[in-house]
Amino acid sequence: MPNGIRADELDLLSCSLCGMVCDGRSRCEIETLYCMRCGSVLSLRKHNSHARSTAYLLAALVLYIPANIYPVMYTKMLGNEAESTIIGGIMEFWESGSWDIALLIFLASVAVPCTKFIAMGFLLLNSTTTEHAMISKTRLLKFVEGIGYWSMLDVLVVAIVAALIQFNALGVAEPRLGIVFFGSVVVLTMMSALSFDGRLTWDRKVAHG
Amino acid sequence: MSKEVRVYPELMLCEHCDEVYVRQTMAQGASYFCSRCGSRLGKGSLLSVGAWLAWTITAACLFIFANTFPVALISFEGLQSEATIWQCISALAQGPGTPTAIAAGFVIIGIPGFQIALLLWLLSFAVAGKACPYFVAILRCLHFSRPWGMTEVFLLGVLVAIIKLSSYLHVLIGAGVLSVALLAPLMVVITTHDTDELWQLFERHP
Repeated sequence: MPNGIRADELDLLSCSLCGMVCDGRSRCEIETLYCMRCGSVLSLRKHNSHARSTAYLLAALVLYIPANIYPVMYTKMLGNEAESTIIGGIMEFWESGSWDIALLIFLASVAVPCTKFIAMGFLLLNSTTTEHAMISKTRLLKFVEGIGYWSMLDVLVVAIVAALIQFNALGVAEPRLGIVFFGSVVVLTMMSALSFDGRLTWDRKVAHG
Repeated sequence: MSKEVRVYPELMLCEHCDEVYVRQTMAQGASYFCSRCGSRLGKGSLLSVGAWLAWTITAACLFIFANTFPVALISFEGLQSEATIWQCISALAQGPGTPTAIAAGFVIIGIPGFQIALLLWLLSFAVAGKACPYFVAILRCLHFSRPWGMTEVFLLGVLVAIIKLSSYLHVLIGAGVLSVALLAPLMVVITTHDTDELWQLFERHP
């Protein structure tokens, strides 16, 4: 199957929607070309990939601060009023002996977002072009895309707890501002990974040899 | 300069590094990897279009069950209540939790329901060898909605929520959770299935 030819050597590009291979790689930047099969506008790379990916990542990084400072949930159960932050919620599970649930939420709400910040930052800044580094970077991007949405766990937990409690008279649980920030962080990091075009790193390898 | 482009149906590009490959029929279940960047180029489809449709119908049934059976039964000193996903979300939307409710509603009901409906429409035509009306628009919607369906995260979320509440209340898992547990892996299968076969169908009968 391998034949070792790159698309730029043959002036080819593929449709981002249906995958049909067409020529006109060099023309598509100057004029609007359409895929002959599905009619989508042909574009060589994701539009403004690097800038958009960086912008989403920075926005997510900034919002991650209020997401951790503000409480995510207010509870009033059996007369005890409490407001808990993300870290507070994890500590609560830990102290009550459910270390497994504490670990799960820690992974979803702290480890996954932080891994994404570091990984995306690395992908955006790193410019090594050795064969080995390129393969690792391609793998890293796929990994980041794969784990991203699991951080939505805490948002869903808060939503479900707050919702279920409404059907019982003894307690009150309400989502608080922090969870809105945290939800935005998850969405923004996902958009950062989705708008990052991995092929651009390979283009740099071609340019630098 | 002509606006026409020439197509090369016999070729394919690696979507991660732009290496050129000759398209070939892939053995069932076998994966092919790019020799330059190591990404998967494609996988021989395990499901025929008919089987894909069958699993989509199964998913549609499970989706309806997941939304009509209660996800949890809560009891406290004889006071019992039960709630379905939809009741949970709409109750949450009344109070100060509106943004959370909208986001959660989207990723656990809206997007998966939308994907199932589109696939049912798309595949019931495809199984008869036809491309459905709005074919391209539907595939585009499926393509962009793919990362945002979160049924499997929802499953984990319900379980964590129930454990969290069980320290204060007596909580029982409802039949809705069982449906979600079966739906979650099924959603992965039907939404990540390779659409290449459908595009070839579209090419023959646009």
